[in-house]
Amino acid sequence: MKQELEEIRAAAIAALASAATEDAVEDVRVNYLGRKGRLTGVLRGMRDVSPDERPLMGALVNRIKDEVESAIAEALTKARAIERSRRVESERIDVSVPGRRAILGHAHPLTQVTRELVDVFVGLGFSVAEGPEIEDDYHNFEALNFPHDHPARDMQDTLFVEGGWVMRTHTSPVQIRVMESEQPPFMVIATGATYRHDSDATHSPMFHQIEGFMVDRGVTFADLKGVLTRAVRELFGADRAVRLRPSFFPFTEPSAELDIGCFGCGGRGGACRLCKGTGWIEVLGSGMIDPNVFRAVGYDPEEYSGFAFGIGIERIAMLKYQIDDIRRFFANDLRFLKQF
Amino acid sequence: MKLSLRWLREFVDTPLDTAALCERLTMGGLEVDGVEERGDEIRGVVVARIAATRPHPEADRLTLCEVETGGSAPLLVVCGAANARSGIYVAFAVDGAELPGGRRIGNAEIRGVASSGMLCSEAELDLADDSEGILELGSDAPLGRDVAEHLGLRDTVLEISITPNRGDCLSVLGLAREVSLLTGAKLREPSVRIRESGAPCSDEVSVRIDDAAGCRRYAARVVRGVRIAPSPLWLRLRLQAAGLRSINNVVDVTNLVMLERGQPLHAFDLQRLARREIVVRRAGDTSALQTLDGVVRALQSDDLLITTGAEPIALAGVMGGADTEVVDDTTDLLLESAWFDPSSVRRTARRLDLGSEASYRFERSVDIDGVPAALDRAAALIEELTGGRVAPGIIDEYPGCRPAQPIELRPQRVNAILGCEIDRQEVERTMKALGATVVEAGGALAVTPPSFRTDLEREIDLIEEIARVVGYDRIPTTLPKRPLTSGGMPIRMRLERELRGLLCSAGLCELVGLAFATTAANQQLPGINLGGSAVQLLNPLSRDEAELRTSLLQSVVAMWRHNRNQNATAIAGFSFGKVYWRQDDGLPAEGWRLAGVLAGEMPLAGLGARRPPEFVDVKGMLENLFAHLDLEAAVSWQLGAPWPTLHPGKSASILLDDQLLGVAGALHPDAELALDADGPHWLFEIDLDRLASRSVTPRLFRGLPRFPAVVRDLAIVVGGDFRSADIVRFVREWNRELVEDVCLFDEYVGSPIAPGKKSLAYSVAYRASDRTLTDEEVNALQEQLAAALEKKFKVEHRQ
Ligand SMILES: [Zn+2]
Repeated sequence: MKQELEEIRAAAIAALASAATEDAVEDVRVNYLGRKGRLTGVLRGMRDVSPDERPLMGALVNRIKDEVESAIAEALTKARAIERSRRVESERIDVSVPGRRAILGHAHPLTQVTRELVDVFVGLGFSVAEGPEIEDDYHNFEALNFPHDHPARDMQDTLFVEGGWVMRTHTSPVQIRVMESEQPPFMVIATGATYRHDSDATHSPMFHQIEGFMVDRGVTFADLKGVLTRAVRELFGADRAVRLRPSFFPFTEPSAELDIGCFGCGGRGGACRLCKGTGWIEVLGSGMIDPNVFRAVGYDPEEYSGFAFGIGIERIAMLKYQIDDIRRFFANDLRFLKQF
Repeated sequence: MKLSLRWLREFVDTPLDTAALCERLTMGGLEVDGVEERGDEIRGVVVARIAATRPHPEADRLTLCEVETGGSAPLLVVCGAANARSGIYVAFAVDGAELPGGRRIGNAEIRGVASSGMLCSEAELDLADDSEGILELGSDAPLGRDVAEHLGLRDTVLEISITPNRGDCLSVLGLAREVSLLTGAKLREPSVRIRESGAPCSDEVSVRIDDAAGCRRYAARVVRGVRIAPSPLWLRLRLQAAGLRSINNVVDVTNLVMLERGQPLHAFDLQRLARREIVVRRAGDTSALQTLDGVVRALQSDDLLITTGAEPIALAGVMGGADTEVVDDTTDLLLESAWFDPSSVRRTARRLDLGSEASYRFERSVDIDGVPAALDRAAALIEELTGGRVAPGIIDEYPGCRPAQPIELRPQRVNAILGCEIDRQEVERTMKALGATVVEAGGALAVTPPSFRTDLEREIDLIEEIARVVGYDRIPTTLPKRPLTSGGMPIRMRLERELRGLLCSAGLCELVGLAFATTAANQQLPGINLGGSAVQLLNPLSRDEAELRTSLLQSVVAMWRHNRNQNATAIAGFSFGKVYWRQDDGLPAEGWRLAGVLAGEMPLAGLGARRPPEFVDVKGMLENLFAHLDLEAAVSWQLGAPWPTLHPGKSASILLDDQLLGVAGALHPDAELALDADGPHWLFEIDLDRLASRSVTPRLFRGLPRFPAVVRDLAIVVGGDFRSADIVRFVREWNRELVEDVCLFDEYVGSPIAPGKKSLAYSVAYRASDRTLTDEEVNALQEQLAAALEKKFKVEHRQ
């Protein structure tokens, strides 16, 4: 019997040596340790062994069984390792295939520019206010010191709405609405759609503005220069040249237009098309709020002063992205939208 | 305003070159928009004299001219002009000369005779649109001199934007004053010498002003015996540089004086006046006037008129009448120079769409003190150019004369507004430089601006002048002294930013559409949560789009259509924007909306990604937005949309707390046809105001479950139009303690399911908070649930 056990052990180990796959190892296990396996048969034959031989034989059988089992376990590990490396060798993906995904959409260039502007001014402490687009003549013109039958109204060709209303020609009526409902000090910006009766490559009947104003005791033109210079440099670069130049708006006095050094030619001018050779690009209009505006909302212009400014969003976006025609913003061609 | 620098230099000498002058003007508030060099295109044209002529041997109409230019031997030039004759001085284009339009002149053989160069007509030199014969120069022209130089054609013309407050700068003299102020160069005020003869002016005509508010000053002169003729070249050139057409010598003089001094003038044919009394009055009952363009104008009672007797002869400041117009046989003139009320002129000119150089200047107020001087200047010029005689005396009615009102200017206020340190002396000096008189008045200065600066009425106007003249770059750059505050933005704006990010991630591009709409589009897409009617524009840019959109979907559908026409396959877009309506009480209202489209194919990339969008795509995307806002539980979807133009079986109303929040769905096939929008698509529109105003309960942490969940599937067969969400809602309520979640994961129609039925598969997650559920417990729960569903919904179960 002892010899038979040694033979079984040797045979099992030999069989395992040639068992390269998990299935082959399993076959070996069934052949030796399965219900009808050879080693199981020997174990079953232990009943016939005399009682005094039993301890010795029992120990031998268990030892052989342990040996076979650990050999099987070892063979199994080896077979699995072989299997894994075979899998690794056979599995190949095409990493050049396009990924499966939602193609990312794009925020409209006008909202991207608006967001950038709003963030700069909110960062400087301005709060955002809103107002209606269908305005009355009082808020859009009269309170802003545009008298009736005055040529200043020519600057803003108006779209009229039935019932005596107008489509707001600028975001400035929000100034009046805020001042009517609040007391200084405040720093406010307003942004949104504005309308004029005008349409060509640089004018759209609907366009967008961002308006800002600050009212407090002792606000000066020098403060206006400071705040706008800072904002503009945050938007267009820290060493951007900035200049203010006298202009006219009915609701500010003194009024100023702000130019920045041209980013087409670096301010050198010459044959630059972007700045028409002047080296400067106009980016916003501004000024000290006119005393008549303060009187319209019941503020004492001797007590309070303030400044206001307005920026055309389309203009900034056209300059920034070098877009040739304002109407592209509103055609919403996907080939255009996906460039931003 | 076009400014000839040649003309400017008659009034002011500035040492600045053109670039420096432009810079100074621009930084002084007179923005130079463009610089045009004139006369440069004429090269090699010199003054010459025709020494002798003889006929061309081969052609009757051609003349052979011997031309001398003062230098070498005479040249032979063949000329076809009838006025080519011996002794006249002409413009001679030598061999190699260049003419306007890029034309080059060379030697040529004309009908067998060698011709050297060409004798030029006015048209060939671009001095007139068309002309007869060759240009004849005065006999004082120096032979051999460059003609462009001789005629003063070489000029630099600046295009300057004049802001509406600066009517005083709409003239050469006005701009010369500015150049003097901004550069310190000395101004040469022009003086006028006038020769008068014959019977006095007052014998001929009188003037009465009935409306002194409309016409504060009216001056007139009479000139007799004029001969109407074309203007001399120098006058035509002046007008041409300013962009005005030449009419005749009298009209051209009035225009020249307007350009020079900013005072529009009018010349009436004195003999054609019905009566010799001029009355300035409102139109009242006078109903019509035929203006000199031949059109009969309907008048309104407050139009300001110039009349004789009952007859209107001019719309004051706007346009003269046809009956009293200066014509070729006019001999006697009544010249008018007046101040008309700016808003009155503006109202009439705008109503009749008769804007002109004259009305433009009256609207911006002319210099009331300059009224007689402009008249004298014109009369003197007319005398000089037309042979007319100026009647002695001037009529000058001035009922609107007001004493000058000094303005109080506090030097400390200048610095308080500007934030700079400008001393009293400089304030005073600046005021005097712009022509004001300055008197000490206590601590302040009493400043009386010159009459031409009608824009200076208040202290702040003077402060602006100081800033402008000293230069904005002299004002320091400071930051406001105020405590720190943090900026904020409206909830809607923050919401937009979040949703924009989610929608872009889902593959949609943002679009911005114009707010204008056609009536048809507003009918097709009436919008949600608005009452009343569409807002009508009175002067729309396009008559088709005379309304404002009631639904943001109009912009979305326009974008879809545009991109489909460009053959885009995947059209996925969204927009944030306003819609507008007129409430039943007549007041306009507006609201924010979010709308979008998935059309054509899904905006997906990768293998197997090409497929049309399905309802679940648009719904899933919106569910993600609601989930992001923690509002999923408050939102429900109902079959059918609020408008008939959406497909009744393929659209949904979206409710938030049982109130309409939005719609999602496909167009009714009829609407597809009407809107020219076809192909697979899903649209949505959400009331952003309602979404932004919904208060959101703050999120709180909930403990993680301690015991495992057991998930079982449940397959049922129901009728084809069964609402799958009803099961979900029922199961959740059926055992709130142990059912943790239930969701639909499969829907199937087709064999072996009976026709008209569908199979739905849900997974149900059971979990107890205090123990691990056993298989037996869960099996029992599944059986009870199956029974409950059978009873409630009459469903069949599938194995
Ligand atoms: Zn440039």
